[in-house]
Amino acid sequence: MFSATTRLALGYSSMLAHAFARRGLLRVPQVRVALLRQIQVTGVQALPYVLVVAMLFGAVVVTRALELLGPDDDTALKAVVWGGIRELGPLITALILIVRSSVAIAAEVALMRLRSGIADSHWRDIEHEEEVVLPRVLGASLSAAALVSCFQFVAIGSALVASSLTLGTALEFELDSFLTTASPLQVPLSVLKGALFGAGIGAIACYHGLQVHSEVGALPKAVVAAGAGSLTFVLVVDLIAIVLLIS
Amino acid sequence: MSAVPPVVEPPRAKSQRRQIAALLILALLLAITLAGGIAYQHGVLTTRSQVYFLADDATGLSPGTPVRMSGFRIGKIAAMHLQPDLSVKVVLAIETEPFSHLKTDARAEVVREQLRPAAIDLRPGSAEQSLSEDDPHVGFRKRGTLTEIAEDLRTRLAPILDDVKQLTGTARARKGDIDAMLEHAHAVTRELAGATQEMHALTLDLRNRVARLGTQGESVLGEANRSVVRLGNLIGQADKSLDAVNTRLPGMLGKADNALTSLDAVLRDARTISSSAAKGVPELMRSTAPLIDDSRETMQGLRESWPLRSMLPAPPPAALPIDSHDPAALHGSAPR
Repeated sequence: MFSATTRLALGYSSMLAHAFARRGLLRVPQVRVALLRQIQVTGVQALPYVLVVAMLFGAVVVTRALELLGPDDDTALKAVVWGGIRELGPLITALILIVRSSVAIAAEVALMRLRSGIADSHWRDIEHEEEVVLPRVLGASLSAAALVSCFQFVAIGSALVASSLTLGTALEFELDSFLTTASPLQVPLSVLKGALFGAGIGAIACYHGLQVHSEVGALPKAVVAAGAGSLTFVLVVDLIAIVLLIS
Repeated sequence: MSAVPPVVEPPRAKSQRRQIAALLILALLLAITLAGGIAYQHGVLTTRSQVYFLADDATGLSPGTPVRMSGFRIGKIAAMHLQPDLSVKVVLAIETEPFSHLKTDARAEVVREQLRPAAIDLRPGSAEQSLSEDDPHVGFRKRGTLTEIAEDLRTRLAPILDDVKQLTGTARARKGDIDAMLEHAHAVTRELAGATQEMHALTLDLRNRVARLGTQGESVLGEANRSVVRLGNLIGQADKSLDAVNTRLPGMLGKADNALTSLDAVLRDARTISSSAAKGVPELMRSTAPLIDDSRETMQGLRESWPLRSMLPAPPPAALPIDSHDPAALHGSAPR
C-alpha cells in the first residue's frame, strides 16, 4: 500500500510538473481553446451551483454555531463562524470541483485514450496527449481560484445576514465584527489555496484518465480513483496548510 | 505536433470568452473588495501613531491583539520586545485621531473575560498635558479575569470555610454547654434590659435636670450679663468722676494748701492770743465765781419778788450729789 501511495504521489507530481514544463503550449491555439473550454465547464458552468451552496453554507454555519454555542457568547460565535467560513470556503469549493470536474476530466481523458484516432470534431483540439494535461490543470486551477473568491464572498454575506437576523443585531455591526476578526492576508491565501486545489484536482484527474489504455472496464476505476485521489489530495494539502499556518 | 490542423472557432466562442472574462473579473473584484475591506478595518490604509507600555510579562498579549478606547477598536499591538530587565515593551499602533486624546496619565488595561479574546482597553487619562509624541509611554495595569477573581476568592474563602466547619463541629460537640451559656445569656439579657430601662429613666431625669440647670444658667448668665453692663456703666461713671477729680483736684489741692497756710497763720494767732490770754484768764476766772454767786442771789431775789414770783414756776428740787466725795459737789458752793 505504501508503494502504491508513493507511486500515486509520484504520478500526480509528474502530471503537475508535466503541465508546468509544457506551459509553452499555451501559444498553440488548440491548447488555448481547450483551456477556455475547461474554464467555462469547470468555472462558469459551476458558478450558479457554487453560489447556491455558498449561500446555504453561510446560513447553515451560523445557525449550527448558534445551536452549539448559544447566542450569549457572541464573540466566540463569531470567531467560530468567521474562522470556519474562511477556512472551509476553499475546502467546500474543492469538494464541488471534485464532484463536478474531477470525475468528468478523468472520464473525458480516459475516453480520449480509448477513442484516440477517431475523428471527432469535439476532440479535435486534444488529439495529442501532451496537450491534454496543461489546459485541464490550468483551467481547473483558474476556475477553482475564481470560484473560491465568489464562494467566500457569498458565504460571508449570507452568514452576515443570517447572523444579523438571528441575533437581532445591525448588519453593519456584524460586518464590522467580521472585518475585525478577519486577517487581510486571508483572502489572497484562500484564493491561492483554491488555485492549488484546482491544479491538483486537474492533474490527478488527468493522471487517472491517462492510465486507461484499451479496456473499457478501466474507465470507471479511473473515475473513482480520480475522485478519491483528488479528495485525499485536498485534505492533505489543507492539513499541511493548517500546520504551516499554525507554525 | 508538427501537423496541427487549423482551428475552427465554434460559433459560441465569443460568448464563451465573455463568460470566462466575466467570471475572472467578478472573482477578482470580489477578492479585492473583501481583502480591501479587511485591510481598511485593520488600519492598513490609515495613518497610525504608536504608544507603548511596559508590562511585567506578556501573558495574554500577542501582536495583533486589538486596542480599544471607549469600546471602539482604534488599533492593535504592533510589536512586543523583551527588555534587559525582563520586562516586556508592548508597542501599540493606534489611529492618529484617538492619539490626540491621550494625556500624560493615560494607561492601558488588559481585558480578558472568559472565552472572549484578550483586548487592551486604553484609558485617555485626565491630566492637562497631552501625551508626548517623543516618548509616548502610557501606564499599564492588568485586570484579572473572572476565573482569576474566582480563584482568588476561593483561596481566601477556603480557610474561612474550614474554620467555620471546625467551629460548627465544636459547637455541635458542646451543645449542652452552649445551651447553658445561651440560657445564662438570656437571663443576663433580661437583667440588662431592666438595667437599660433604669438607665433610660436616669438619663431622662438627668436630661431634665440638665435642662433646668441650663435654664437657670441662662438666667444667671443673663443677670451676670446685666450686672456686667451695670458694672460697666459704673466704671464709666467712676471713670468720669475720676476725670472730674483729676480735673478739680489740682485746684482743690491748691485751695487746701492755701487753707492750711491760712490755718497755720490762725494757729499762730491763736497761739499768740492763748499765750496772752493765759496770763489774764485765771485772774478773770477767779473774779467770775463771786460774780456768779451775786448773779444767782439776784435772780433768787427776783423770783421771790412780786409779781415775778407768780409768773415763774417753782424751781425743781436740787439733785443730790451722787457721791459725797464728788469733787464737783465739793467744789460747788452749798445751796442756800
